[in-house]
Amino acid sequence: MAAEIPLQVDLDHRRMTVGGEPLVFHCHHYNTFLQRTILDAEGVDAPPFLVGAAAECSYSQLTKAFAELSLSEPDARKALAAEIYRWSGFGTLDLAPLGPEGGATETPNAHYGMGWKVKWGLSEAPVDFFTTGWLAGALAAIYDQPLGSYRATQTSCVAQAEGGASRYELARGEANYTLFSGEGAGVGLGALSERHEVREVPAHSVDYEGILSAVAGLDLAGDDQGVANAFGVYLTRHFANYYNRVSFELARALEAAHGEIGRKVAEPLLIEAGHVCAFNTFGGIMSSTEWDALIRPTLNTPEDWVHGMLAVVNALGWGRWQVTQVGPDEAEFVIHDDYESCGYVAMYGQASHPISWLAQGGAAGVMNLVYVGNIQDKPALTEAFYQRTFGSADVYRATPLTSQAMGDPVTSFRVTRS
Amino acid sequence: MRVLALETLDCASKLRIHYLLPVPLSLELCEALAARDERLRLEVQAFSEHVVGAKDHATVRRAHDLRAAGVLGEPRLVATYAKGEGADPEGGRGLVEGFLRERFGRLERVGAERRRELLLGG
Repeated sequence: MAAEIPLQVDLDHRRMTVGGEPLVFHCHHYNTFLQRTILDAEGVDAPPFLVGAAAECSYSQLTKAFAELSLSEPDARKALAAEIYRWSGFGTLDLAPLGPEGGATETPNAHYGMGWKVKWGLSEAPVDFFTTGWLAGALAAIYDQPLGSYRATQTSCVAQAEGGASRYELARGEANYTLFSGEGAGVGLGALSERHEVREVPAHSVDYEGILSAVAGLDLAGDDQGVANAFGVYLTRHFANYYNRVSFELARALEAAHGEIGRKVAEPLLIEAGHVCAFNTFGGIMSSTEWDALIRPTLNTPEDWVHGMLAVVNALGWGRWQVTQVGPDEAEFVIHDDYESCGYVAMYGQASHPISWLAQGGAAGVMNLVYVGNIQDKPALTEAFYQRTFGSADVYRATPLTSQAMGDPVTSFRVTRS
Repeated sequence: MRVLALETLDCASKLRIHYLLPVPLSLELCEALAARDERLRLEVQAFSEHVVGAKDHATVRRAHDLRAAGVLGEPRLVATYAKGEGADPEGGRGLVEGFLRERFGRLERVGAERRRELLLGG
């Protein structure tokens, strides 16, 4: 019998956790685009922090999950760890060959490798930094070792060949990746608001609570190959703090190398990843048969479409999203406990500048899909359509108004046409 | 009676076809499709229990390679066939389209110029 996932859902804060680590839904388009953006950044040695971020998250999650469920035997711990990995949509892993000294494991089912191949074609080198780090953190947790007790290497990858497999090798020894928080790894949910001061919104026809309840009830778990195929994309229920760490480390690395101009280079790259996320995930959702059944029948205006999408976003684990003003000229988005702000403050302390780049791209992305792309007409979500919609002269851009990471009560954006 | 079929996606990993049926999609039709292969599973999402005005949704799924879904009461069925390693999109398509032909007599493929009619009904 499969191990039961110790999922905790906090509907008040629009968050979900396993082992205290916040989880958020994102698709293979965003996962592979973000990773490629980071890898392509000139002068940044990204693999150590891509691997280290995953190790930090899996170690944090699994040590707490094992304790919550009083699992002390390595076999029981391996079963739970592998089940969480599959359920999350990351693929499948056989942890049996791994022991306290390390070992090797191989799988034909790997989200990052498969997603990379689907989106970018074959890769010359392995691309699954996430699973490499996940394994290093998991093995340390399974054998009650400190984070960083294992070296981890991916020696082959699903993305390198048709019909290929991903192989990972682990050995006791000094970590060959970045160690972020030592033995007390992980920041969990970070500093959540005690309660959300919900803002007034203009009249609309969308039942936010009903949609939240319905979407939360959908089966979005990985299947027996660890694939969660929904809304036309491959979904993952991923670590919020993985996205946080790798995004913030990119910005910090560029800032360390080039000063403030380095951060100014990082910001549009990470906002663009948010546009890609909105286009594919939001676009896929708004084109889906589930949308046609659950949400579309109640929509009367383009503004309702924005509200309908935000009602779904509230089920993705991203925090509470509201749109307090919306029309074809501009909109204002308010986000309570956005996962980027909560993670940033817990990782680095209060920010000196807005850092919610995924949310910034996502807010503009919803407006572009509805008012520029006319997603209501079910266009094909092609690269050409992306360029027409997000590259048009009158594209929407989001500007930060407040930032929870900087100490404001909420994160908010004004979205206007260029 | 006839079914209209429009290919709306053909990428490295999947083939998607929208079918416009001559009748509204019913639970009975979905059950009959699911009965065509013991590996097919039917799931119904009772969205109308959550949101006033929402409709229920049905999914017929075969692990990894076939997913057909639609809104109950509306005349559309959207099938996605996995492509690539180990997948058999033509086999899945043969199963679904064979079923639709048996039920409705004829299946006519149409081009993108009829996309709006197929997807939106207008």
